[in-house]
Amino acid sequence: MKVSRSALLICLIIFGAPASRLNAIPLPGWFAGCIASGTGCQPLPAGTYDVASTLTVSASVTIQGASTNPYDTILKRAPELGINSAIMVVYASGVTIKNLTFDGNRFYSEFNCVGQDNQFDLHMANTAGTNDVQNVYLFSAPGTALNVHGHTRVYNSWISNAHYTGMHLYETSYALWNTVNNSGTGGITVWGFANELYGNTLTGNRLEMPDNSGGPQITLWQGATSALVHQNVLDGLFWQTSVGGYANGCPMPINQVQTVGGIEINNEFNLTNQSHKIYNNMIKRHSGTGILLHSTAGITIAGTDPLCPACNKLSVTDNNFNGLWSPATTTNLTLGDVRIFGNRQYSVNLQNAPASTTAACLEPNDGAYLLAGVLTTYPSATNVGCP
Amino acid sequence: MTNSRQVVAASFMAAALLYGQPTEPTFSEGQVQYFRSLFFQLGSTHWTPQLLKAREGALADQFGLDQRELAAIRTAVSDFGQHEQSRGTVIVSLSANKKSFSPSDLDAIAQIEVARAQDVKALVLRIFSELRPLSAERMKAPGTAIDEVLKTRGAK
Repeated sequence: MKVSRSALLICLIIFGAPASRLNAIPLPGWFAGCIASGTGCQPLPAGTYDVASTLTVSASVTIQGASTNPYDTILKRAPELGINSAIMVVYASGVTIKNLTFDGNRFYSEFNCVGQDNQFDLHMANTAGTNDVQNVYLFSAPGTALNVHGHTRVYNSWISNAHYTGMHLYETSYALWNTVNNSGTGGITVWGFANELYGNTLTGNRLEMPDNSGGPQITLWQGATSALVHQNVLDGLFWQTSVGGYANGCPMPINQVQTVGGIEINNEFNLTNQSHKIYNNMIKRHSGTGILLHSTAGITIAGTDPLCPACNKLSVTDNNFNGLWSPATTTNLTLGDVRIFGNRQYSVNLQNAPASTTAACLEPNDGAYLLAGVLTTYPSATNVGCP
Repeated sequence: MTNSRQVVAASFMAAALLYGQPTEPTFSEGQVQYFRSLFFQLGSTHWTPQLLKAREGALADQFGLDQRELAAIRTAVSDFGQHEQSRGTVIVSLSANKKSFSPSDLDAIAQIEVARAQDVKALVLRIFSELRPLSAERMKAPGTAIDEVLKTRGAK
Protein backbone atom coordinates (compact mmCIF):
# COMPACT_ATOMS: atom_id res chain seq x y z
CA MET A 1 0.00 0.00 0.00
CA LYS A 2 1.40 3.35 -1.01
CA VAL A 3 1.03 5.91 1.75
CA SER A 4 2.09 9.46 1.05
CA ARG A 5 3.49 11.69 3.77
CA SER A 6 0.74 14.28 3.52
CA ALA A 7 -1.96 11.60 3.52
CA LEU A 8 -0.49 10.36 6.75
CA LEU A 9 -0.59 13.89 8.11
CA ILE A 10 -4.25 14.37 7.28
CA CYS A 11 -5.00 11.00 8.86
CA LEU A 12 -3.70 12.39 12.11
CA ILE A 13 -6.31 15.10 12.15
CA ILE A 14 -9.24 12.79 11.61
CA PHE A 15 -11.20 11.64 14.60
CA GLY A 16 -10.56 7.93 14.72
CA ALA A 17 -9.29 7.79 11.18
CA PRO A 18 -9.14 4.28 9.79
CA ALA A 19 -6.14 3.32 7.71
CA SER A 20 -8.33 2.79 4.63
CA ARG A 21 -8.48 6.56 4.19
CA LEU A 22 -4.79 6.71 3.42
CA ASN A 23 -5.15 5.54 -0.18
CA ALA A 24 -5.41 8.39 -2.67
CA ILE A 25 -7.87 7.39 -5.36
CA PRO A 26 -9.15 8.92 -8.60
CA LEU A 27 -12.37 10.90 -8.51
CA PRO A 28 -15.43 8.91 -9.56
CA GLY A 29 -16.65 9.27 -13.13
CA TRP A 30 -19.95 10.92 -12.19
CA PHE A 31 -18.09 13.82 -10.58
CA ALA A 32 -17.11 15.28 -13.97
CA GLY A 33 -20.79 15.52 -14.95
CA CYS A 34 -21.65 17.00 -11.58
CA ILE A 35 -19.20 19.87 -11.75
CA ALA A 36 -19.87 20.48 -15.47
CA SER A 37 -23.66 20.56 -15.44
CA GLY A 38 -24.86 19.77 -11.94
CA THR A 39 -26.19 16.38 -12.97
CA GLY A 40 -25.82 13.40 -10.68
CA CYS A 41 -24.28 15.37 -7.84
CA GLN A 42 -24.17 13.76 -4.42
CA PRO A 43 -21.76 13.80 -1.47
CA LEU A 44 -18.34 12.41 -2.33
CA PRO A 45 -17.68 9.20 -0.40
CA ALA A 46 -15.04 9.44 2.30
CA GLY A 47 -11.48 9.10 1.10
CA THR A 48 -8.55 10.99 -0.33
CA TYR A 49 -8.98 11.84 -4.00
CA ASP A 50 -6.07 12.69 -6.25
CA VAL A 51 -6.85 15.75 -8.35
CA ALA A 52 -4.71 15.60 -11.48
CA SER A 53 -6.44 18.36 -13.45
CA THR A 54 -8.30 21.45 -12.28
CA LEU A 55 -11.93 20.89 -11.30
CA THR A 56 -14.02 23.69 -12.84
CA VAL A 57 -17.39 23.99 -11.14
CA SER A 58 -20.44 25.27 -13.03
CA ALA A 59 -23.26 27.47 -11.80
CA SER A 60 -25.57 26.39 -8.99
CA VAL A 61 -23.59 23.25 -8.13
CA THR A 62 -22.96 22.10 -4.56
CA ILE A 63 -19.74 20.20 -3.94
CA GLN A 64 -19.65 18.43 -0.60
CA GLY A 65 -17.89 15.70 1.29
CA ALA A 66 -19.42 12.54 2.70
CA SER A 67 -20.61 14.19 5.89
CA THR A 68 -20.34 17.40 7.89
CA ASN A 69 -17.00 16.16 9.20
CA PRO A 70 -14.76 18.13 6.82
CA TYR A 71 -11.94 15.63 7.24
CA ASP A 72 -13.93 12.71 5.78
CA THR A 73 -13.36 13.69 2.16
CA ILE A 74 -10.10 15.13 0.91
CA LEU A 75 -9.27 16.62 -2.48
CA LYS A 76 -5.53 16.38 -2.83
CA ARG A 77 -3.26 18.10 -5.32
CA ALA A 78 -1.66 15.33 -7.38
CA PRO A 79 1.90 15.78 -8.65
CA GLU A 80 0.58 15.88 -12.25
CA LEU A 81 -1.45 19.01 -11.45
CA GLY A 82 1.67 21.00 -10.71
CA ILE A 83 1.43 24.22 -8.72
CA ASN A 84 0.37 26.62 -11.46
CA SER A 85 -3.15 25.16 -11.60
CA ALA A 86 -5.78 25.32 -8.88
CA ILE A 87 -7.35 22.20 -7.42
CA MET A 88 -10.77 23.79 -7.96
CA VAL A 89 -11.94 26.88 -9.83
CA VAL A 90 -15.39 28.48 -9.77
CA TYR A 91 -16.22 31.08 -12.43
CA ALA A 92 -20.00 30.85 -11.99
CA SER A 93 -22.43 31.77 -9.21
CA GLY A 94 -24.79 29.88 -6.95
CA VAL A 95 -22.02 27.47 -6.03
CA THR A 96 -21.50 26.01 -2.57
CA ILE A 97 -18.32 24.25 -1.50
CA LYS A 98 -18.75 22.61 1.89
CA ASN A 99 -17.67 19.88 4.28
CA LEU A 100 -14.40 19.15 2.51
CA THR A 101 -10.65 19.24 2.97
CA PHE A 102 -8.29 20.59 0.33
CA ASP A 103 -4.79 19.19 0.69
CA GLY A 104 -2.40 21.34 -1.31
CA ASN A 105 0.36 18.77 -0.95
CA ARG A 106 2.96 21.48 -0.46
CA PHE A 107 5.54 19.08 0.90
CA TYR A 108 5.71 17.12 -2.33
CA SER A 109 9.32 17.57 -3.34
CA GLU A 110 8.67 19.61 -6.50
CA PHE A 111 6.17 21.91 -4.78
CA ASN A 112 8.07 22.51 -1.60
CA CYS A 113 8.83 26.17 -0.84
CA VAL A 114 8.55 27.40 -4.45
CA GLY A 115 4.87 28.43 -4.67
CA GLN A 116 3.77 32.01 -5.30
CA ASP A 117 0.94 34.29 -4.21
CA ASN A 118 -0.95 33.83 -7.50
CA GLN A 119 -1.04 30.03 -7.29
CA PHE A 120 -4.21 28.85 -5.58
CA ASP A 121 -5.76 25.69 -4.21
CA LEU A 122 -9.36 26.96 -4.31
CA HIS A 123 -10.07 29.85 -6.67
CA MET A 124 -13.50 31.48 -6.39
CA ALA A 125 -13.17 33.46 -9.61
CA ASN A 126 -16.76 34.63 -10.03
CA THR A 127 -17.34 38.32 -10.57
CA ALA A 128 -21.10 38.30 -9.96
CA GLY A 129 -23.76 36.34 -8.12
CA THR A 130 -23.02 34.68 -4.80
CA ASN A 131 -21.02 31.65 -3.73
CA ASP A 132 -20.41 30.02 -0.36
CA VAL A 133 -17.39 28.27 1.11
CA GLN A 134 -18.39 26.74 4.42
CA ASN A 135 -16.87 24.24 6.81
CA VAL A 136 -13.88 23.68 4.55
CA TYR A 137 -10.36 22.89 5.70
CA LEU A 138 -7.59 24.06 3.38
CA PHE A 139 -4.16 23.02 4.47
CA SER A 140 -0.70 22.78 3.07
CA ALA A 141 -1.22 24.99 0.02
CA PRO A 142 2.00 25.33 -1.99
CA GLY A 143 1.01 28.93 -2.81
CA THR A 144 -2.13 30.74 -1.59
CA ALA A 145 -4.88 28.52 -0.19
CA LEU A 146 -8.04 30.43 -1.09
CA ASN A 147 -8.44 33.21 -3.64
CA VAL A 148 -11.82 34.92 -3.60
CA HIS A 149 -12.31 37.26 -6.51
CA GLY A 150 -15.68 38.40 -5.33
CA HIS A 151 -19.19 37.84 -4.03
CA THR A 152 -18.33 34.89 -1.84
CA ARG A 153 -19.08 34.12 1.79
CA VAL A 154 -16.36 32.13 3.51
CA TYR A 155 -17.35 30.92 6.95
CA ASN A 156 -16.64 28.31 9.61
CA SER A 157 -13.55 27.30 7.66
CA TRP A 158 -9.95 26.69 8.59
CA ILE A 159 -6.83 27.51 6.59
CA SER A 160 -3.43 26.41 7.83
CA ASN A 161 0.15 26.18 6.70
CA ALA A 162 -0.17 27.73 3.27
CA HIS A 163 3.26 28.55 1.88
CA TYR A 164 2.07 31.98 0.77
CA THR A 165 -1.18 33.72 1.85
CA GLY A 166 -4.07 32.04 3.61
CA MET A 167 -6.87 33.95 1.87
CA HIS A 168 -7.30 36.78 -0.64
CA LEU A 169 -10.51 38.78 -0.79
CA TYR A 170 -11.04 41.03 -3.79
CA GLU A 171 -14.54 42.52 -3.57
CA THR A 172 -17.89 42.36 -1.81
CA SER A 173 -17.05 39.19 0.05
CA TYR A 174 -17.31 38.01 3.61
CA ALA A 175 -14.87 36.10 5.79
CA LEU A 176 -16.85 35.13 8.89
CA TRP A 177 -15.61 33.12 11.85
CA ASN A 178 -12.73 31.40 10.11
CA THR A 179 -9.35 30.39 11.47
CA VAL A 180 -6.19 31.17 9.54
CA ASN A 181 -2.89 30.09 11.02
CA ASN A 182 0.74 29.54 10.08
CA SER A 183 0.51 30.92 6.56
CA GLY A 184 3.90 31.74 5.09
CA THR A 185 3.37 35.37 4.11
CA GLY A 186 0.07 36.72 5.36
CA GLY A 187 -3.19 35.50 6.83
CA ILE A 188 -5.77 37.52 4.88
CA THR A 189 -5.11 40.11 2.19
CA VAL A 190 -7.91 42.41 1.02
CA TRP A 191 -7.52 44.01 -2.40
CA GLY A 192 -10.83 45.43 -3.58
CA PHE A 193 -13.95 47.07 -2.17
CA ALA A 194 -16.63 46.32 0.39
CA ASN A 195 -15.19 43.21 2.02
CA GLU A 196 -16.03 42.22 5.58
CA LEU A 197 -13.74 40.35 7.97
CA TYR A 198 -15.77 39.41 11.03
CA GLY A 199 -14.84 37.18 13.95
CA ASN A 200 -11.85 35.50 12.34
CA THR A 201 -8.92 34.13 14.33
CA LEU A 202 -5.45 34.66 12.86
CA THR A 203 -2.54 33.10 14.65
CA GLY A 204 1.11 32.88 13.76
CA ASN A 205 0.82 33.94 10.13
CA ARG A 206 3.81 35.34 8.18
CA LEU A 207 5.69 32.30 9.34
CA GLU A 208 7.92 32.10 6.26
CA MET A 209 7.86 35.56 4.71
CA PRO A 210 8.86 34.45 1.22
CA ASP A 211 8.18 37.94 -0.14
CA ASN A 212 11.36 39.27 1.47
CA SER A 213 9.63 41.92 3.53
CA GLY A 214 8.07 42.51 6.88
CA GLY A 215 4.32 42.76 7.13
CA PRO A 216 1.14 41.89 8.94
CA GLN A 217 -1.35 39.09 9.41
CA ILE A 218 -4.12 41.14 7.76
CA THR A 219 -3.38 43.55 4.92
CA LEU A 220 -5.84 46.05 3.45
CA TRP A 221 -3.82 46.53 0.32
CA GLN A 222 -3.42 49.17 -2.37
CA GLY A 223 -6.76 50.06 -3.91
CA ALA A 224 -8.83 48.36 -1.22
CA THR A 225 -11.76 50.47 -0.02
CA SER A 226 -14.67 50.25 2.39
CA ALA A 227 -13.48 47.19 4.26
CA LEU A 228 -15.16 46.37 7.55
CA VAL A 229 -12.80 44.56 9.92
CA HIS A 230 -14.34 43.73 13.29
CA GLN A 231 -14.25 41.30 16.19
CA ASN A 232 -11.21 39.48 14.81
CA VAL A 233 -8.46 38.11 17.05
CA LEU A 234 -4.90 38.43 15.77
CA ASP A 235 -2.27 36.74 17.87
CA GLY A 236 1.29 37.10 16.57
CA LEU A 237 2.84 34.78 19.15
CA PHE A 238 5.83 37.20 19.04
CA TRP A 239 7.05 35.36 15.93
CA GLN A 240 9.88 36.83 13.93
CA THR A 241 12.12 35.29 11.35
CA SER A 242 15.60 34.27 12.28
CA VAL A 243 18.69 34.44 10.13
CA GLY A 244 19.41 31.04 8.67
CA GLY A 245 16.27 29.56 10.17
CA TYR A 246 13.53 27.37 8.74
CA ALA A 247 9.75 27.59 8.96
CA ASN A 248 7.26 25.07 7.60
CA GLY A 249 10.31 23.30 6.27
CA CYS A 250 11.35 26.24 4.10
CA PRO A 251 14.56 28.21 4.56
CA MET A 252 14.21 31.89 5.35
CA PRO A 253 14.95 33.69 2.08
CA ILE A 254 16.14 36.85 3.73
CA ASN A 255 19.33 37.71 5.45
CA GLN A 256 17.87 39.71 8.28
CA VAL A 257 15.41 39.33 11.07
CA GLN A 258 11.87 40.47 10.13
CA THR A 259 9.07 41.26 12.54
CA VAL A 260 5.37 40.54 12.12
CA GLY A 261 2.53 43.03 12.58
CA GLY A 262 -1.21 42.77 13.11
CA ILE A 263 -3.08 44.89 10.52
CA GLU A 264 -1.46 46.99 7.81
CA ILE A 265 -3.46 49.47 5.80
CA ASN A 266 -1.71 50.57 2.67
CA ASN A 267 -2.54 53.44 0.33
CA GLU A 268 0.17 53.53 -2.26
CA PHE A 269 -2.49 54.35 -4.86
CA ASN A 270 -3.05 57.64 -3.01
CA LEU A 271 -6.82 57.26 -2.73
CA THR A 272 -8.42 60.27 -1.10
CA ASN A 273 -10.86 58.21 0.95
CA GLN A 274 -10.33 54.54 1.65
CA SER A 275 -13.28 54.40 4.06
CA HIS A 276 -12.05 51.38 6.01
CA LYS A 277 -13.66 50.72 9.36
CA ILE A 278 -11.67 48.81 11.97
CA TYR A 279 -13.82 48.03 15.01
CA ASN A 280 -12.96 46.20 18.21
CA ASN A 281 -10.27 43.74 17.15
CA MET A 282 -7.86 41.93 19.47
CA ILE A 283 -4.34 42.53 18.18
CA LYS A 284 -1.73 41.10 20.51
CA ARG A 285 1.71 39.62 20.85
CA HIS A 286 3.17 40.77 17.54
CA SER A 287 6.91 41.22 17.23
CA GLY A 288 6.17 44.38 15.21
CA THR A 289 3.34 46.95 15.30
CA GLY A 290 -0.31 46.25 16.06
CA ILE A 291 -1.87 48.49 13.39
CA LEU A 292 0.26 50.16 10.73
CA LEU A 293 -1.16 52.97 8.61
CA HIS A 294 0.82 53.52 5.44
CA SER A 295 -0.16 56.91 3.97
CA THR A 296 -3.81 56.19 4.59
CA ALA A 297 -6.88 58.35 4.08
CA GLY A 298 -10.31 58.11 5.65
CA ILE A 299 -9.74 55.34 8.17
CA THR A 300 -11.91 54.85 11.26
CA ILE A 301 -10.51 52.81 14.13
CA ALA A 302 -12.73 52.32 17.15
CA GLY A 303 -12.93 50.09 20.18
CA THR A 304 -16.70 49.85 20.08
CA ASP A 305 -18.26 47.90 17.25
CA PRO A 306 -21.52 49.66 16.34
CA LEU A 307 -22.76 46.33 15.01
CA CYS A 308 -22.27 44.78 18.45
CA PRO A 309 -22.01 47.36 21.21
CA ALA A 310 -22.22 44.70 23.95
CA CYS A 311 -19.46 42.50 22.54
CA ASN A 312 -16.41 41.84 24.67
CA LYS A 313 -14.08 44.83 24.54
CA LEU A 314 -10.90 43.92 22.70
CA SER A 315 -7.54 45.66 22.68
CA VAL A 316 -4.36 46.39 20.83
CA THR A 317 -1.91 45.24 23.44
CA ASP A 318 1.35 43.55 24.23
CA ASN A 319 2.90 44.16 20.82
CA ASN A 320 6.63 44.58 20.67
CA PHE A 321 6.66 47.87 18.75
CA ASN A 322 3.93 50.53 18.50
CA GLY A 323 0.29 49.77 19.13
CA LEU A 324 -0.82 52.06 16.29
CA TRP A 325 1.77 53.63 14.02
CA SER A 326 1.57 55.91 11.06
CA PRO A 327 5.11 56.51 9.83
CA ALA A 328 3.94 58.53 6.81
CA THR A 329 1.26 61.13 6.18
CA THR A 330 -2.17 60.05 7.33
CA THR A 331 -5.30 62.02 6.54
CA ASN A 332 -8.81 61.92 7.87
CA LEU A 333 -8.08 59.40 10.58
CA THR A 334 -10.75 58.96 13.21
CA LEU A 335 -9.93 57.19 16.44
CA GLY A 336 -12.72 56.34 18.82
CA ASP A 337 -12.36 54.80 22.29
CA VAL A 338 -9.84 52.31 20.99
CA ARG A 339 -8.08 50.44 23.77
CA ILE A 340 -4.38 50.56 23.00
CA PHE A 341 -2.11 49.82 25.90
CA GLY A 342 0.84 47.82 27.09
CA ASN A 343 2.80 47.96 23.83
CA ARG A 344 6.56 48.18 24.02
CA GLN A 345 7.06 51.52 22.29
CA TYR A 346 4.28 54.08 21.82
CA SER A 347 0.67 53.13 22.17
CA VAL A 348 -0.18 55.57 19.38
CA ASN A 349 2.54 57.07 17.22
CA LEU A 350 1.10 59.29 14.52
CA GLN A 351 4.10 60.90 12.94
CA ASN A 352 3.13 63.52 10.37
CA ALA A 353 -0.52 63.47 11.35
CA PRO A 354 -2.09 66.60 9.83
CA ALA A 355 -4.69 68.80 11.43
CA SER A 356 -7.49 66.90 9.73
CA THR A 357 -6.90 63.97 12.03
CA THR A 358 -9.48 63.74 14.75
CA ALA A 359 -9.51 61.68 17.86
CA ALA A 360 -12.99 61.45 19.23
CA CYS A 361 -11.84 59.62 22.28
CA LEU A 362 -8.26 58.65 22.80
CA GLU A 363 -8.51 57.80 26.44
CA PRO A 364 -10.77 54.91 27.22
CA ASN A 365 -12.04 54.19 30.67
CA ASP A 366 -9.33 54.87 33.19
CA GLY A 367 -7.24 57.05 30.89
CA ALA A 368 -4.12 55.03 31.55
CA TYR A 369 -4.06 53.24 28.25
CA LEU A 370 -2.13 55.84 26.29
CA LEU A 371 1.53 56.39 26.93
CA ALA A 372 2.72 59.93 27.38
CA GLY A 373 4.70 59.65 24.16
CA VAL A 374 1.62 60.12 22.05
CA LEU A 375 1.33 63.69 23.25
CA THR A 376 4.58 64.63 21.59
CA THR A 377 3.93 62.84 18.31
CA TYR A 378 0.31 63.87 17.99
CA PRO A 379 0.30 67.60 18.50
CA SER A 380 -2.47 68.62 16.12
CA ALA A 381 -5.18 66.19 17.10
CA THR A 382 -8.40 67.29 18.64
CA ASN A 383 -9.28 65.26 21.67
CA VAL A 384 -12.88 65.92 22.45
CA GLY A 385 -13.01 63.47 25.31
CA CYS A 386 -14.52 60.08 25.88
CA PRO A 387 -18.25 59.36 25.96
CA MET B 1 -26.80 42.21 6.10
CA THR B 2 -25.06 44.36 8.68
CA ASN B 3 -28.19 46.31 9.61
CA SER B 4 -30.21 43.22 10.34
CA ARG B 5 -27.26 41.78 12.24
CA GLN B 6 -27.21 44.89 14.38
CA VAL B 7 -30.91 44.53 15.15
CA VAL B 8 -30.56 40.85 15.99
CA ALA B 9 -27.53 41.45 18.19
CA ALA B 10 -29.27 44.30 19.98
CA SER B 11 -32.33 42.11 20.52
CA PHE B 12 -30.19 39.36 22.03
CA MET B 13 -28.48 41.76 24.35
CA ALA B 14 -31.72 43.48 25.35
CA ALA B 15 -33.32 40.12 26.08
CA ALA B 16 -30.34 39.10 28.15
CA LEU B 17 -30.48 42.28 30.17
CA LEU B 18 -34.23 42.23 30.70
CA TYR B 19 -34.86 38.60 31.33
CA GLY B 20 -31.51 36.99 32.08
CA GLN B 21 -30.42 33.77 30.44
CA PRO B 22 -33.30 31.64 29.17
CA THR B 23 -33.64 28.39 31.08
CA GLU B 24 -33.65 26.28 27.91
CA PRO B 25 -31.79 28.02 25.11
CA THR B 26 -32.60 26.98 21.60
CA PHE B 27 -30.08 26.89 18.80
CA SER B 28 -30.57 27.86 15.21
CA GLU B 29 -29.12 26.06 12.19
CA GLY B 30 -26.33 28.62 12.00
CA GLN B 31 -25.47 28.15 15.65
CA VAL B 32 -25.31 24.37 15.29
CA GLN B 33 -23.08 24.82 12.24
CA TYR B 34 -20.76 27.17 14.12
CA PHE B 35 -20.34 24.91 17.14
CA ARG B 36 -20.01 21.77 15.02
CA SER B 37 -17.18 23.36 13.05
CA LEU B 38 -15.63 24.62 16.27
CA PHE B 39 -15.72 21.14 17.82
CA PHE B 40 -14.12 19.56 14.76
CA GLN B 41 -11.49 22.27 14.62
CA LEU B 42 -10.53 22.29 18.28
CA GLY B 43 -10.61 18.49 18.38
CA SER B 44 -8.05 18.18 15.63
CA THR B 45 -4.67 16.82 16.58
CA HIS B 46 -3.18 19.03 13.90
CA TRP B 47 -2.54 21.74 16.48
CA THR B 48 0.67 22.15 18.38
CA PRO B 49 0.01 22.76 22.08
CA GLN B 50 1.06 26.39 21.63
CA LEU B 51 -1.29 26.99 18.71
CA LEU B 52 -4.21 25.24 20.38
CA LYS B 53 -3.72 27.37 23.47
CA ALA B 54 -3.69 30.47 21.26
CA ARG B 55 -6.86 29.29 19.46
CA GLU B 56 -8.61 28.80 22.79
CA GLY B 57 -7.28 32.16 23.91
CA ALA B 58 -8.98 33.73 20.90
CA LEU B 59 -12.30 32.28 22.10
CA ALA B 60 -11.68 33.79 25.52
CA ASP B 61 -11.00 37.14 23.88
CA GLN B 62 -13.93 37.12 21.50
CA PHE B 63 -16.57 36.08 23.99
CA GLY B 64 -15.03 37.21 27.27
CA LEU B 65 -14.82 33.66 28.60
CA ASP B 66 -13.09 32.80 31.85
CA GLN B 67 -11.05 29.66 32.53
CA ARG B 68 -14.02 27.74 33.93
CA GLU B 69 -16.02 28.47 30.78
CA LEU B 70 -13.12 27.49 28.54
CA ALA B 71 -12.81 24.23 30.47
CA ALA B 72 -16.47 23.48 29.75
CA ILE B 73 -15.79 23.93 26.03
CA ARG B 74 -12.68 21.74 26.24
CA THR B 75 -14.66 18.93 27.88
CA ALA B 76 -17.38 19.18 25.25
CA VAL B 77 -14.81 19.01 22.45
CA SER B 78 -13.28 15.93 24.01
CA ASP B 79 -16.67 14.22 24.37
CA PHE B 80 -17.60 15.14 20.80
CA GLY B 81 -14.36 13.55 19.59
CA GLN B 82 -15.22 10.34 21.45
CA HIS B 83 -18.66 10.24 19.88
CA GLU B 84 -17.21 10.94 16.44
CA GLN B 85 -15.15 7.77 16.49
CA SER B 86 -18.16 5.55 15.97
CA ARG B 87 -19.80 7.94 13.52
CA GLY B 88 -16.57 8.15 11.53
CA THR B 89 -16.30 4.38 11.37
CA VAL B 90 -19.80 4.13 9.92
CA ILE B 91 -19.14 6.83 7.31
CA VAL B 92 -15.95 5.10 6.21
CA SER B 93 -17.58 1.69 6.03
CA LEU B 94 -20.43 3.16 3.96
CA SER B 95 -17.81 4.70 1.66
CA ALA B 96 -15.54 1.69 1.34
CA ASN B 97 -14.88 0.74 -2.28
CA LYS B 98 -17.75 2.90 -3.47
CA LYS B 99 -17.71 5.49 -6.21
CA SER B 100 -21.11 6.79 -5.16
CA PHE B 101 -23.60 6.30 -2.36
CA SER B 102 -26.75 4.25 -2.76
CA PRO B 103 -30.06 5.72 -1.55
CA SER B 104 -29.83 3.60 1.59
CA ASP B 105 -26.28 4.88 2.20
CA LEU B 106 -27.55 8.44 1.92
CA ASP B 107 -30.37 7.65 4.34
CA ALA B 108 -27.86 6.21 6.79
CA ILE B 109 -25.65 9.29 6.47
CA ALA B 110 -28.68 11.54 6.97
CA GLN B 111 -29.42 9.69 10.20
CA ILE B 112 -25.83 10.17 11.31
CA GLU B 113 -26.17 13.88 10.62
CA VAL B 114 -29.34 14.04 12.70
CA ALA B 115 -27.55 12.27 15.55
CA ARG B 116 -24.51 14.54 15.13
CA ALA B 117 -26.67 17.67 15.25
CA GLN B 118 -28.45 16.38 18.37
CA ASP B 119 -25.07 15.65 19.93
CA VAL B 120 -23.85 19.15 19.12
CA LYS B 121 -27.00 20.69 20.60
CA ALA B 122 -26.71 18.60 23.77
CA LEU B 123 -23.08 19.53 24.22
CA VAL B 124 -23.76 23.20 23.54
CA LEU B 125 -26.60 23.11 26.07
CA ARG B 126 -24.16 21.69 28.57
CA ILE B 127 -21.62 24.40 27.74
CA PHE B 128 -24.28 27.07 28.05
CA SER B 129 -25.26 25.76 31.48
CA GLU B 130 -21.72 26.65 32.55
CA LEU B 131 -21.60 30.05 30.87
CA ARG B 132 -22.44 33.33 32.48
CA PRO B 133 -25.44 34.97 30.77
CA LEU B 134 -23.44 37.54 28.84
CA SER B 135 -20.92 34.92 27.67
CA ALA B 136 -23.82 32.75 26.46
CA GLU B 137 -25.37 35.61 24.51
CA ARG B 138 -22.04 36.50 22.95
CA MET B 139 -21.45 32.90 21.88
CA LYS B 140 -24.66 32.99 19.88
CA ALA B 141 -23.36 35.81 17.71
CA PRO B 142 -21.36 33.72 15.19
CA GLY B 143 -24.32 31.45 14.51
CA THR B 144 -26.57 34.48 14.13
CA ALA B 145 -24.23 35.80 11.46
CA ILE B 146 -24.27 32.41 9.73
CA ASP B 147 -28.08 32.38 9.90
CA GLU B 148 -28.10 35.66 8.00
CA VAL B 149 -25.82 34.16 5.36
CA LEU B 150 -28.16 31.18 5.02
CA LYS B 151 -31.18 33.48 4.85
CA THR B 152 -29.74 35.80 2.24
CA ARG B 153 -28.43 33.12 -0.10
CA GLY B 154 -28.06 34.73 -3.45
CA ALA B 155 -28.93 38.21 -2.23
CA LYS B 156 -25.51 39.74 -2.68
